[in-house]
Amino acid sequence: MADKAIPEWMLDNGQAGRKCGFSGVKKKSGFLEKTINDVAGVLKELIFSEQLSSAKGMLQNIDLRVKLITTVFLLLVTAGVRNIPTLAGLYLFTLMLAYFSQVPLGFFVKRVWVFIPFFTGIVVLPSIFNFVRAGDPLFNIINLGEPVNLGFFKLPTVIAVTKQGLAGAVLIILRVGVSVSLAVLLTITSKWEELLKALRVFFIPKIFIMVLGMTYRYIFLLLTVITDMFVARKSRTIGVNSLRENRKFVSAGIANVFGKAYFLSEEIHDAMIARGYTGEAKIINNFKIKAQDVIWIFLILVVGIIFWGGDLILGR
Amino acid sequence: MHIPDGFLSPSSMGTLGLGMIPVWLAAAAKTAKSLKIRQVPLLSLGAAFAFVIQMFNVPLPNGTTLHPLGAALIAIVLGPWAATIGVTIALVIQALFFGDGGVAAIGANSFNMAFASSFVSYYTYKIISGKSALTSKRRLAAGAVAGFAGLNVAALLTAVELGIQPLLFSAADGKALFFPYSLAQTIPFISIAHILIGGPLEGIVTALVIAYLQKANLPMLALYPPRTRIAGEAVQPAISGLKKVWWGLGVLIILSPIGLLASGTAWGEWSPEELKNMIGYLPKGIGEAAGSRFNFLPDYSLPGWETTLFQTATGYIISALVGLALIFLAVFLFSKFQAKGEKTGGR
Repeated sequence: MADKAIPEWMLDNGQAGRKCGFSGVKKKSGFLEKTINDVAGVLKELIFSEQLSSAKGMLQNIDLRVKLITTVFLLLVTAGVRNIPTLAGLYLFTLMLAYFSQVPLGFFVKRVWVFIPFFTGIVVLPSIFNFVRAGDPLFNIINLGEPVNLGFFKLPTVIAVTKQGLAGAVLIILRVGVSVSLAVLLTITSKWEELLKALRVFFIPKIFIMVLGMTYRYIFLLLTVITDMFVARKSRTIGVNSLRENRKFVSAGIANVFGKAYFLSEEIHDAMIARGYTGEAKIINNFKIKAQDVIWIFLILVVGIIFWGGDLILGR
Repeated sequence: MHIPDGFLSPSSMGTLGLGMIPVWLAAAAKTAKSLKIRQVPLLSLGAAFAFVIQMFNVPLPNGTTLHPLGAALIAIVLGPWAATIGVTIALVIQALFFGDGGVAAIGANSFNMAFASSFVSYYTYKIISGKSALTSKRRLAAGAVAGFAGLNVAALLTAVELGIQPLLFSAADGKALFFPYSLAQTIPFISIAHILIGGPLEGIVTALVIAYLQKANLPMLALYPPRTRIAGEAVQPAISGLKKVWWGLGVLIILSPIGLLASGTAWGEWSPEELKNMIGYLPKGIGEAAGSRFNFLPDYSLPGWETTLFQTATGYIISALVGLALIFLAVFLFSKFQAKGEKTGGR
């Protein structure tokens, strides 16, 4: 009797008809779940960094304009140094800063190093072998006996990891790690709205700063719209949809969000006019340089010079 | 395609960043003129859309998903200038919050994905669609080609920027200081992926979105270029805006060789070896002067300490540890000072 009650298409183990819970085999998650999860992940990140920025820590207290300039200075030092020990030292320095700024070290290290090996690591990996980049062999992996010709390129007799390749790979991974750490420190210890206002130190026109601030606010709204759209779709999907159909749905979704965003911009425009907007961008800020900010500039300058100098001593 | 920090040398990032400044300023001026008081809300929502469009996962035949860049679509609907600003802002937010693309590399990434991609897409679309009706099928083809072209231009530029790094910056022993692969490796690798998968997908999505807008929201496709004429007001000719782009490109062209020449070391501060590599021989005077200088304080280390490699290494390690300890102490004292200042300030 039960068999007759359930229509066949509902038993079809398709995209939405998947069993709940642990099924033993990990299936590729559908694009609907993936999009919903991605959006939730982005919202989580944004809110978490907003929370950390109101903790009472060292970097949170520094004037944002000062923090912005010193971060860029340290980023330039990082980009310029060329020795692994210097970069390792710089990384320890970012850990110190995180520690004194109440940033959980576990989170900080994970945040930076979870992505870098996946992206930079994989990209750089082939360059350590001698058939991709020539160099002095450090240790041999396999001896082919004779050069192998693969048609479009030749493999040498001995495949080896080169000294230069390995050093270069470590260098670039460390440099990316330090740079990302510095950027993460800047953003998670700063309130976004304030950070935008601080961008004025780089002579960025007010109009851009106003646009950036509004963009940030409306990203939250549009993300909610997307979540609603995809959750609605998922809750109404039974069985399998063709690839073509799914693609059409995504495109229509994009077009709809675009249309909504445009409509909203008109509404916001009217609302702004109603509140007396004349087209002139105004930014309220109450930045004040304190004694500690001056000392901070001096401190970072000295630290930068120490690392730069140390790097020069180690050789270029 | 987002270039992270650490892949490009400071001079490459600086060149592209400086080159983008006139483009951004021109975009601000241009949109202020064409959008007037609507500029701020429209650009804000355009940028927010540029950010969230990358959240849309498009299913691929093999079960994986890929997200579109969206620069082409935004350029077609809102115009290349607004798209340049919108995508730049999306890139800034991605770099600051998600580590997707570097902070110092924002100039380079904006050049590839915001500026080049938007303009190539827009003009491709405009040329192919011609004077066809807004609802014509020709516009779908135009959108598809524009999406494909825009993405691949960005990919090609990324490949070139990354590929010239080992050419310009390698240590004397062949160790790569920045991105390790040559042009012959980056261009095929990056371009093939984008020609085969990313480009067609971007094209299909752009065309499908245009198809949907034709059916459901036709006025969106007529937004740019703005055609409404307000009484008593001359319509701004497009030339004045373009002029600024040429200025921007001119500056970029002038700056590029400087960026290339400044390979790693500051202009004019080459060591004798570098100079020898650059010009093929060592001017005699420089060799002599350098010789006398380096004899005076050999390699910054104290005389008597550089006797063996082991000793030198120990010296380095000890001084590095002392240096780090001093920095730690300084930061610690600073945080104490700060806490004290806050207490007294609070009373």
